[in-house]
Amino acid sequence: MTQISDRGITVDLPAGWEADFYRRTAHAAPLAVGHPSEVTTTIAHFANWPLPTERGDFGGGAVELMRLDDILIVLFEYGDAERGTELFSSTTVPWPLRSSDFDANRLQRPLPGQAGLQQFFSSTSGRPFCLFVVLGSGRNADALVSQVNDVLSTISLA
Amino acid sequence: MTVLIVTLTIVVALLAILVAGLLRSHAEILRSLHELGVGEGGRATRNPALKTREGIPEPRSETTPAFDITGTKPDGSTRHVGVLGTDHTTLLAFMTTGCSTCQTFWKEFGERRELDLPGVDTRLVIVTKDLEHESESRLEKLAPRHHPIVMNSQAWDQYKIPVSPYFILIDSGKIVGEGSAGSWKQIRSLLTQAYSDSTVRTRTRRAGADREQHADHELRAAGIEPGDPSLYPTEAPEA
Repeated sequence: MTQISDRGITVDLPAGWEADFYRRTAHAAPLAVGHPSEVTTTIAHFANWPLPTERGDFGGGAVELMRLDDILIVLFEYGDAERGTELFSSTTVPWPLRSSDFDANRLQRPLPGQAGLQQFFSSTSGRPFCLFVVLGSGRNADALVSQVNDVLSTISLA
Repeated sequence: MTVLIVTLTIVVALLAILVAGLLRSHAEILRSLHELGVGEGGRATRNPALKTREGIPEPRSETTPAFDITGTKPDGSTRHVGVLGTDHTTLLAFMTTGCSTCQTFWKEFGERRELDLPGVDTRLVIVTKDLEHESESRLEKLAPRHHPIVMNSQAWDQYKIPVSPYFILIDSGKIVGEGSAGSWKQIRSLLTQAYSDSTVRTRTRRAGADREQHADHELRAAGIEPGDPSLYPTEAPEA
């Protein structure tokens, strides 16, 4: 396990996983899409496969490259304007996840065989987050969700 | 008679010196061969001192195991790159913004997304030193869009990098090739050869239970579990 910490997010990653933290800027995420006036804070990507440098905030440009046993976890923090809003009213982290929580229709961009999940919540300090997870194979969900939970269980949010 | 005895004595003395010299030379050769692991036992007693020609960088003085790298990106945020426990090959390119030889590699990596790297789904990761040692503006200009950069001076120390640029090829968690050169063509050739040598060794090793485990992993990845009907076809496949 390797502990990585940035911008108030700490995670312990198993061997073979990688992490990338950034804020949306033209330099950090050239393919990122969103309204120019939209304010985002921290975006963290965790994956058990090599993340391409050019990808969107929710994995666009990367999910197309995923193989059957690949996983992408996105923690997307929204701006202060979203604090306390209905969408982020849950102050309980949405993990552990169940394989039945995943569905092909919950992907931002549906791709054959893949399954996804999207959950909104706030950290105990009120930071509004979206958790977005993509599995390379929905058929292999039981094994993959177990790996996802192993990683999520180590996350702490300041 | 006296002259003959003196002459013979001198000849014998010279022959003795010659034989002693030959024995000493023979002993030196035997010792060197033993150090290289040639001969009985076949185990080298120490690493022979390796010298390269002038102008050609020497390899690392000390080998290290491979390890993951966590560092910062040019924008200051964190990037962690896993090289252990992966099923792809990783090429770590230790480069700086200042070294003149690196410029050709920065240019090559900036222009090409596909580098035809040796290995399995090989990913290039550029490792520079921290911003204290690098030019931020130059890095911003040189950083290729298609290949990740991690900045970490400690990784340079821990991998005992002797010179810039220096390349380390990691496959299945092990360093299988490394070196430095003046052009991408040269380094690619060097690493391709090293990777080919390592795969010959791996193929020989992968047998029996290891091969079975590998096959199980591949089948599971494809969603085929033990007992899956597709593993026990009752009809012959269509021609």
